[in-house]
Amino acid sequence: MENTLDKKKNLRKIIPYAIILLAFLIVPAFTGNIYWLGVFIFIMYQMIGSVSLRTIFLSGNISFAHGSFIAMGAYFAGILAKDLGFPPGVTLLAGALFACVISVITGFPFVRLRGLYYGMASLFMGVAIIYVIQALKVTGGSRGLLDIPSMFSSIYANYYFFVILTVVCLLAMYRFEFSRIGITLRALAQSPEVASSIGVSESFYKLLALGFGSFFAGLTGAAFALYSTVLSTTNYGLTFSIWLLMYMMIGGDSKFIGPVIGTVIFVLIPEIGRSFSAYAPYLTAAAMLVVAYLIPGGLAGIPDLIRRRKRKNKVENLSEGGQAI
Amino acid sequence: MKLLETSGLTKRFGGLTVIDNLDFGIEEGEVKGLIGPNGAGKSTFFNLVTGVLLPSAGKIKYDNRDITRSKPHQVAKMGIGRTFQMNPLFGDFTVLENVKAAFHLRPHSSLFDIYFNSKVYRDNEKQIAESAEEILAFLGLINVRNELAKNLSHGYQKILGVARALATRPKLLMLDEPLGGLNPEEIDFFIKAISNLRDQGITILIVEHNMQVLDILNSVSVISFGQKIFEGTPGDMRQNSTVAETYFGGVI
Ligand SMILES: Nc1ncnc2c1ncn2[C@@H]1O[C@H](COP(=O)(O)OP(=O)(O)OP(=O)(O)O)[C@@H](O)[C@H]1O
Ligand SMILES: [Mg+2]
Repeated sequence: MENTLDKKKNLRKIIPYAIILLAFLIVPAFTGNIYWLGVFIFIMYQMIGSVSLRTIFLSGNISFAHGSFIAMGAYFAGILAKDLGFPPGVTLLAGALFACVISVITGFPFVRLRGLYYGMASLFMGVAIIYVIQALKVTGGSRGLLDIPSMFSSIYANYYFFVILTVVCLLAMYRFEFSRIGITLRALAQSPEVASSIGVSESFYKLLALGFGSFFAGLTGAAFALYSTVLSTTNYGLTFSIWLLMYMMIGGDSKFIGPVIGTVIFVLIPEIGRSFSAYAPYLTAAAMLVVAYLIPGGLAGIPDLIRRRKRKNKVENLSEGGQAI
Repeated sequence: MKLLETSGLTKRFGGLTVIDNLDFGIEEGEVKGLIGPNGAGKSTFFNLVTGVLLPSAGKIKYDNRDITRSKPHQVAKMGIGRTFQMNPLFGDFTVLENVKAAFHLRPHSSLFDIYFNSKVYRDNEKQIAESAEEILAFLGLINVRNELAKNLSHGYQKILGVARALATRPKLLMLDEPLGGLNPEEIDFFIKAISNLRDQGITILIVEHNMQVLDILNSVSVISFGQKIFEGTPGDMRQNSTVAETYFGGVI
């Protein structure tokens, strides 16, 4: 009895992912338009970014440096591919590892900071990283890194590569969150003092979340570099980090699927209504307010909200019935 | 043998000396009370021992090891479990999840085992689920095991704090005002549970204002303004005039 209930619950969890995956798989059948394929690649690239940002967020820290870690993966992979001629498999992994290692090293001094203070530290770190990239020669400085050898020449190959990459990355992060590691991180986020009292090293687990999340940030950055073949720091500044945070918060930061939904919707909406794309920031701000006031759990929290409403109605009906008797 | 021993322990906050040259010890296997008026420094003492605060001077020895500068998670690993006076919880976890999460140290699964869902990890988690239920049953929380911790009554939350500390499999259990917020029935039940734990061989240190705990204490230390003013049995404490004056305003 309990088992079938669990199965039903699991099935219900998989359905939204299945729908989204199916949509992404069949997009090319509906539009051979290169522009639209590019938009969907752009969604997947950022989706891995915002989901990995949420992995870090599990430990209770909000990072404003995530866009910069994506940039580091992108630039490191780009330089390895362009100047040293490394094959894509190596550059992708190297980009991911580079972002992971640098995030842990730069995160180490700030690991004791919490909440707003961590946010401030990560903000400065993120901005500093972009300045360093701009100041260096190998990165092409402010002119950008051009002529990176691409991984696949066909847009379809690039597209399906991103679909596979996204599925693999999301599965890897899903496992992280729903294992004891994720439970420990969520415990730490709720009360660092209680977590320490049961033997959790706050520094270790915060760095673990940071390193793990940044690995996927670097990976998606590297993949996008090999697809787009040009990199410019203007695409990675603080604004980019804030967008990733927006996707996560509007989508719903308490659920794994939150940033997935958030990214799809907030990249697609301005694309669909090209004519009002200039208003995209205002629309996002409005959406932010709506979410903050009406659906605190984000878009992914709507089903829960409805369920709770229903239950409440039921309880009220019951108590009314009780009075009638 | 002394399980925990402090010598010359001192803690100053700016100019305020909150723990003043305190020599304190607890024998292995006993239940000891630490009592004193509000602001005497009892919670500060807990925080010094468990590494939440660093002492200004003095030494802390536990189980023949110097833990003066140990961090909270290291102290927990060595076998000191504790609760907090303000009793923070993992509020968004259920009661059962709170206790299961607290099995962080023992049994141990490596990150690799956990991530790749190895047999070691699965076996450990099975064992944790059983042990967690046992603890909840022991402390009378089994019927609320699926409630969110933040929705519990004050009393149940206090007991959940103890359940969580027990999940670390402590040798020394330190309870900061565990009876606060409990109703009389819960207090009776809880006091029985404590003596039960002592029988299992756990050494227990209790900070408490409620004098009902005196019945189960082997010994008591009384502190005032961070200094020890009495040490002895609960019976002797009742007779002691200094304690009566500073703590109870002369009425016992
Ligand atoms: N972080 C801190 N900074 C400054 N002063 C502090 C700090 N923590 C505690 N104190 C002060 O130290 C003194 C002792 O506080 P403590 O909480 O240890 O007392 P207590 O014996 O636990 O009292 P109670 O019975 O009310 O819980 C108080 O005067 C308190 O104001
Ligand atoms: Mg106190």
